[in-house]
Amino acid sequence: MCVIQGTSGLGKSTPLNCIGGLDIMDSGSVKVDGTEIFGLKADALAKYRKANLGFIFQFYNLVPNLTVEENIQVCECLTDKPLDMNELLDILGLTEHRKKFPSQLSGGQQQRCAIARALIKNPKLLLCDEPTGALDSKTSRDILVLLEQVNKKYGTTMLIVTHNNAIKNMVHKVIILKDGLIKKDYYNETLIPAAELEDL
Amino acid sequence: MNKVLSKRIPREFKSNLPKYIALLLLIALCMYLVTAIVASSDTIIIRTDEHSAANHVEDGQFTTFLPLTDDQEKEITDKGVTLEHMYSLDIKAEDGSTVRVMKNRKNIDLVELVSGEYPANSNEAVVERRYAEEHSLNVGDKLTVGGTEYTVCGIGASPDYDAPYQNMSDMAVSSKNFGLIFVTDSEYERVSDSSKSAQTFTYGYLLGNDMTDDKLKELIEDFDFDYTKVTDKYYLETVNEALEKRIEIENGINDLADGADKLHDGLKDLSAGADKLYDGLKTLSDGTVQLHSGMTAIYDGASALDKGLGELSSGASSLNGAIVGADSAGLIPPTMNALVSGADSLATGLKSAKSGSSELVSGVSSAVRGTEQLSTGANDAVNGAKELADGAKDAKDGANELADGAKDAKDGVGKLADGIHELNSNIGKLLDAAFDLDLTNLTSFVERADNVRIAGAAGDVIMNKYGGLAACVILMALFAYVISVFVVHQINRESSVIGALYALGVTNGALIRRYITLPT
Repeated sequence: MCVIQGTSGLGKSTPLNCIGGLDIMDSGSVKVDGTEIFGLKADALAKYRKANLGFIFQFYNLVPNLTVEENIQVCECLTDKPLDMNELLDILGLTEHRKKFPSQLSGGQQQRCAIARALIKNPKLLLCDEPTGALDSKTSRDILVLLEQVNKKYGTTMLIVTHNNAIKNMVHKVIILKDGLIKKDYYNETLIPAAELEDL
Repeated sequence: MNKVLSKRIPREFKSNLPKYIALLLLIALCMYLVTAIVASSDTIIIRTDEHSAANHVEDGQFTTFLPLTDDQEKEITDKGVTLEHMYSLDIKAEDGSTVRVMKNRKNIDLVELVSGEYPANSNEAVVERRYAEEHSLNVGDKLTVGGTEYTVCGIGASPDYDAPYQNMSDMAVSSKNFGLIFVTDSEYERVSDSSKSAQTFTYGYLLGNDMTDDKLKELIEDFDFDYTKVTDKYYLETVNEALEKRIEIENGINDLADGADKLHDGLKDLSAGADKLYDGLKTLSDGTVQLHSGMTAIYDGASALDKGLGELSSGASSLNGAIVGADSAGLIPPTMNALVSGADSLATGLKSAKSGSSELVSGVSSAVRGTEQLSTGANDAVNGAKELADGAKDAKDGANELADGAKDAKDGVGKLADGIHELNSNIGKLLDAAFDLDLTNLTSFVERADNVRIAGAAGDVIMNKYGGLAACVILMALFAYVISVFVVHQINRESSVIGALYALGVTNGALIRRYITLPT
């Protein structure tokens, strides 16, 4: 798990979007699992995202008139080897909510649904853009705990962009940005479990 | 994925049911209106075309002042044109409306019956359907036109009065005030003979071979036409008024030409007379000069005579005196008696001669006096003749000038006369342009496409049809705009979701299909 941390507005999401192939770079190089992203056409980028990436956004972005299960199924159909729906729902505590619509869920539940949607296709890399930005501290902790569990269970690499200073203590690698440049870049020697994070 | 995303469509539809029902109803209503208008118009147009074909609708019609002669009609039909006599009379019905009485048609613009039969008897008539409707006439009812009561044997319409305008220039059909009836040929002849109304000589035509409307019109316009036989008094008045002015001008110019000729002739005579005057005065002048010289010669002769006689007289006297003296002196010998006798004889003779010469002298003296007088008179005559000669010369000169002036005047008037003749010869073209009277028997020539009466219903609805089609296009554009606004609204509302799905790997095509299928 890796965190890109920095204050708002200094371009934390930009490297995320570049890695995800959503923003077109003018120059430079991005390699994901040995695949060079820079220079790929739109179709190739779509295939790359479909095969390798999952996205989680600050404001969930669920399809409002599809149920939880159906929202997850949208991405389930994108892969030939999805994760087990029921297991995923169980892990994310959404089993009893599977038939509900997003408007019937709380913020944390919606974000869990978004995580499930992103994870169902078993991506190599999960890109999280302020996953706890719209949540309170308790719910944020719950989500971070989930991400930790998913990371341990499925081995999914996660790149989390956040301005939250506490999250960097639970991840393996920390990249701190300032003025659009990497100010600090290090590995945590000791990881604090997500459940014990303070000041979220 | 497609199936999953497709599930949102019926749910979206269900959650916005009233809006979609309203939209569908609106679209359906508009389509219904457009279809109704266009389809009904098309039906009328198609049916009109079918009726027109079945009833041999004319290619056009024309009206003349006077009926065409048989030869003229033959000339037209020989060129492949079919003609139909559609003569008519406008007569007042009992209720004050105008009824156009016509014969039943045989070849062109056939009357199509809605009910009943064609007229078989002189008291039967087929009534035009709109007029029948306005006046609540049915088959079997009576209709009085121009004092004649007809039984309505049928109700129908003819293609050339599909829209029964009384006049082609009318703005609207008024079947309450105008209609048509079709009667038998014999009945029409009877009515036309007895009616005070003016008959209208209209012909319907169908073109054939390579005849065109323009060629037919040109042919009819070239037909001979005696305008004096036209009964329309207003037409005659107009033509005569126009021709009167032209004739006045032509006569005036003819008179002017004649006057110029006479003036020219008069001046020619004047010029000739002046020449003669000149010649006469010249002769007189020459004569007076001769008179003058003659008188001068007479005067000289008289003077010489006078002198000679004087000398003769003195010589004779001298001789006589000498002889007498000699005789008296006895100078004259007896041998000279003969001389003396001779001399005496001579003397006697001379005496006689003397007396005679005395008389001669006196006579000569008288003659001398006379010649003196003659001389004086001749001198006076000479002077007078000189003056006469001078005067005659002046008169001659004046006459010469008069002759020259008269000649110039003659030449000038000659040119004037020529100019007036040239004006006279060219005035015809000027008058033709000014009084452009193209007198032709043709009063009107209307081609089918220009005839407002033909296919009137179709003509009325053709605009409805095109209007309906235009309205359809506009409505479709409007609906497309409204729907696009809905789609754009929805896309804006779910732009984050769309972005998230795109980021997760859903293709553009799938997103487009799912998000514009149903406008919200």
